Amino acid sequence: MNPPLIEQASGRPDLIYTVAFDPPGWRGGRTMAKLLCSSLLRHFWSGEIVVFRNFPEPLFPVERKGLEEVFVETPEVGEGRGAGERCLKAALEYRFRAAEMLDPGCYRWMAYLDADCLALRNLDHLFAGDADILVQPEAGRKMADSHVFNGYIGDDEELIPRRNAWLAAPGDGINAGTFAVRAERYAEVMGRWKEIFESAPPRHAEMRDQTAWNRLLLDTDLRVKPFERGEVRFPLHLDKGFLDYKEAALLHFVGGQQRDKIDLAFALHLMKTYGDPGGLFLDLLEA
Amino acid sequence: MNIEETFPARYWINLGRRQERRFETEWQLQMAGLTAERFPAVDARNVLKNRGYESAGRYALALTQRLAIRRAMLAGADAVLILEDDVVFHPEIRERLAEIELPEDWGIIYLGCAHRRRPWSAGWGTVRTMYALDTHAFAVRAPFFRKVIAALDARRVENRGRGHALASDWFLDFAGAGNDGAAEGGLEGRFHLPFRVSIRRLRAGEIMV
Repeated sequence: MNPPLIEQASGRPDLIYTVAFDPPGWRGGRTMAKLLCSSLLRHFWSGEIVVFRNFPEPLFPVERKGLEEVFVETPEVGEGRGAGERCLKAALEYRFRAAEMLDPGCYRWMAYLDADCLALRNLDHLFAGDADILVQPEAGRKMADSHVFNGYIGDDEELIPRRNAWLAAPGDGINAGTFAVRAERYAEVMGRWKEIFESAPPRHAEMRDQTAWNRLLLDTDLRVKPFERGEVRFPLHLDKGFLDYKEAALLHFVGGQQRDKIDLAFALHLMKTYGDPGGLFLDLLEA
Repeated sequence: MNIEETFPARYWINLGRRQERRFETEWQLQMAGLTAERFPAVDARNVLKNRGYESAGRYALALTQRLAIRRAMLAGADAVLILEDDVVFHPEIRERLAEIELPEDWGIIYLGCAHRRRPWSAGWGTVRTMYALDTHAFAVRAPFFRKVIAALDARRVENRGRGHALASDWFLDFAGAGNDGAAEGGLEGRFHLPFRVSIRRLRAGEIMV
């Protein structure tokens, strides 16, 4: 069946959700999530925002309209040696485990963004078109060749997407930290993702959640499309030139240490929200 | 003419990085009481070759127009309306359009254009263009989708030497060349609604017949 020629306004907002988990005594995840939410709000994101956090301190002590913070307990993270890795694992899995706490009936599109993302512009326009799932390929990193994408792809398996041929050519791996799913498909997609994730991968899977996501995209009958070209960039990974990413709508700080991410995100956020060629904000600070 | 019934597919072209134009066009559409879907424009920065056009920007626009028409074609639309993101609507656009009765054989409709040759009257509220340019607001009817897509490809042998590739809107004149006997197979009807529906900040008198 053809998609509708003009998507009628459903009256339902879009949702962006993120996961801010920190091991005990750390605040990096919180800072990144706060930068993300702040940037979304500053650039007038018209939808709602939900943040799942595993620490009691709110991101915003004063409530922000359209933003909800949900405190969840993560006893599996624990303390001491390895807590950082366990925390990262818990956060990554929460991409689809959060589905149990979200009501798709309330939304039009449901987008997940890793906490290490930052909006440089309004994002409303990204969630449109005739796709069921919107994703961001990592240009040049082949799905079949990298352990962070191919854990659920057999050694000699030829990439043959069930519906979305563009996934096989050029065959770039798909990042699992920035995606959107139409709300009416959300439960089905997250359920399938969880099923794949909980099955044993045929080979070593370095980021099991992401490799499961790539398997899902290959096998789905739903329409998968990339986000609008040039609108999502990876400044610490694939698009390291400032001129490459400064015009993007959304940055995802894949790669680098957490401190690098925070430093760059903070600088870019201030540049976009308080920066001007006349240096007014600088003059105020340095008066 | 009812705009939704006449043009079941309605797109407006916008580059992601031109956020201010997106906000402006969304506002314009809302004020006019129209619905249209944003169509992401091809960024000239991603264009490696001009493919016969005078600049990467011209080629990127032509490519975007082809993609928009193709999407309408794949969706099975009877006609597509394509707007650019600097469109300015007449404050009474709905009322004005409702008064228009379109000829049955129309191929392309301009909701505003620049006439290079004097048009002919084609009934109340419409003229038949003889040579007109501008693509900030135009519509194409389904039987002519493939023809316009082909006309937008400056590399095609039959399009060479006609000069249309100098600008992405010159294809409109070429596509309709059959009307004035310059070539066979032109669009059977191209019509312009002679009132200020939209034009890039020009005054009404500049496009009136």
